[in-house]
Amino acid sequence: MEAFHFTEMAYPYIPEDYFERGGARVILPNAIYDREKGHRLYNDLLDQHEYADQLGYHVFLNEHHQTITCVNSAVSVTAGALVRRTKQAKILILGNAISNREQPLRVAEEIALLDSISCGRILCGFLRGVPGEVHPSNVNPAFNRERFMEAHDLIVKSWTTPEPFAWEGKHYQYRYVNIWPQPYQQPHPPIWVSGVGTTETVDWAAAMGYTYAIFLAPWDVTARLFDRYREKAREAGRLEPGPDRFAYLLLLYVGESEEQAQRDGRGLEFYLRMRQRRGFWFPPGHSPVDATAKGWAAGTKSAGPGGAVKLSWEDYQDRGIAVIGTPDKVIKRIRELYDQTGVGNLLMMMHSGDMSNQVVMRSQKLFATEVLPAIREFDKTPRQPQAAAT
Amino acid sequence: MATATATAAKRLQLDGVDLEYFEAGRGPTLLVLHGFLEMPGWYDFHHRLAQRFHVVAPSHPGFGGSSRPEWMTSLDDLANFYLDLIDRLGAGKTHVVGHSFGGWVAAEMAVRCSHGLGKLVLADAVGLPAPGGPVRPAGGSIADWLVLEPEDLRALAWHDPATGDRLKLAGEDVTSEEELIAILKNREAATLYGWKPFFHSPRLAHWLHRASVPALVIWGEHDGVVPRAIGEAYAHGIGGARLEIVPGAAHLPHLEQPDEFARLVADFLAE
Repeated sequence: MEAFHFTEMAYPYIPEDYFERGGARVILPNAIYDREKGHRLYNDLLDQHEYADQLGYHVFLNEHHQTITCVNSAVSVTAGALVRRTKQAKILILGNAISNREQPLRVAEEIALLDSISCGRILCGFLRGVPGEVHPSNVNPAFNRERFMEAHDLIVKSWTTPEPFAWEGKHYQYRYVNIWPQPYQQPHPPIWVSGVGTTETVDWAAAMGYTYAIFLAPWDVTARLFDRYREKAREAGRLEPGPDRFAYLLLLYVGESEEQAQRDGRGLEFYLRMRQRRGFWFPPGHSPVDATAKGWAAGTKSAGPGGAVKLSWEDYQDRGIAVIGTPDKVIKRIRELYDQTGVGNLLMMMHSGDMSNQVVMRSQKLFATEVLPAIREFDKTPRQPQAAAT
Repeated sequence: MATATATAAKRLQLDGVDLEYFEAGRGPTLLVLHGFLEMPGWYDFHHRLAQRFHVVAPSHPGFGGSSRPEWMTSLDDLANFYLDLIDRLGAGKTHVVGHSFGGWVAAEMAVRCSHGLGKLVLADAVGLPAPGGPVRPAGGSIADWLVLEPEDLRALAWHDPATGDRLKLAGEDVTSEEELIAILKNREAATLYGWKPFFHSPRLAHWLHRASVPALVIWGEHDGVVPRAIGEAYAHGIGGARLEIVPGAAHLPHLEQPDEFARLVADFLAE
């Protein structure tokens, strides 16, 4: 099993009434942003990623726009800041919301450049982008899925075609495509995708053989989607997908004692509690209309940051969406997760809100020294089907 | 919202669209193009106009019960489609009344080809940028009705709070999942045509002089969705057009003041 350090890079220094002033996204005035605090925040969070590299595991970066839930507004920039300061870590970029980009070839170039500098340590995630991303980009949400597919096809072709070609698509047109550099990894960096809103994404990922990531969903939902992936991969005539084709994001804190873990790990809850206006979360056309109807009707006036169901902090832990505790407890829970889902890539949100680097790095070190050696071997062993369901 | 029951939906096939439309009355033909907030259908003002005109009220491709071919995504497509529909109706000179989104479609028709048109009525129409730039600091000139909470949107779109529940806006006013899905489907269709630039064309103002038909612009006195400056720009840009303000109405004068709206339209068409 491979492990990845993650922080959503939320901006935590917000007023109590931020929801009344606009909610987490798009219209909360950026006068709230403090540039000195921001400077320290960015460097602290990059330090965490560098520390993960030193400790022997990987890093995972993402990108959002005009939102306090994630102030990493240009993932290629933060990945660029890390490629020369890290040595062994894979850098998972999950990812670029290519539907919302007017110039998908720029993404192809950025990934190829990062891959070249890092000697092939880039894992390339493509996303449709969460619904609230359509307002900052102002790209028509009704064409989001079409644009995703066309941008993906164009980028992959640009990486794998050894001579100039022309592209005349519905959404993108180029008369000359001939990117330099080509990616270091051949034919191109491994492609990852994520998305649980509909089954279209998992079916497509399975047919393509891409690594499929699920964020903060209940384990039983995750297991069902991974099983669907396996079924669709078989239908597509692919080899039985191994654990490396699956990834799962959870909140994770490892402490010396249960008490210390619960006290310091509680900071992770910040991410789950941020609220945003419903109108910015259900743009028409981004999702099928029946799915939008369910979300709209349930959303009252606010919606969470996405992915996670709304539960108490204890329930999040009971369900394994948050795993908080001593090394032994964390190892046991991750074993249960593996047995239930067959996941081979553990994406770990180890920081959120205003957790200090002292607190986060303490957990990172315990994870690397006490937990990682044990869980690394999990996916080389058969799953235990009798594991208790959560 | 109260819908008169005088007419049932009809269908015709045109340009790959399975078109739903409502039709009643005798007299000169009047094509009525609906907006983006109300459900397409047959309302009191249609009924009043049908006392003197042959009223044809289609649901735009992708809205209500009308299909939309995958390639049909722009105002150019809709304008050409409705010019084709006028040819298909074969009624000769046809008046066009367009409200809100439908007003934009009507204006785009008139600048392309006005020799099949009789007179033109634009009511609280989108389609033009506000002169002088965005009238709202964020969101633009036309209210971002796709992100507003239903009650906030209602306050901009409907003047009298006592009757505002007649407008269904995907809030507590919606009583069934079917109704919610129908409303969200219309929002999706509108988004497809009008997301960017947000329900206007930067080019249209430069061609309004080609709308060589008598034109009337009607605006709800309290329209908070589309600023009156856009109505003034329409009246200024189309030669000889005048602007009439409907008191006691906001974005939907045809629904909130159907008597006054139908009277203004009928008097203008009879001039």
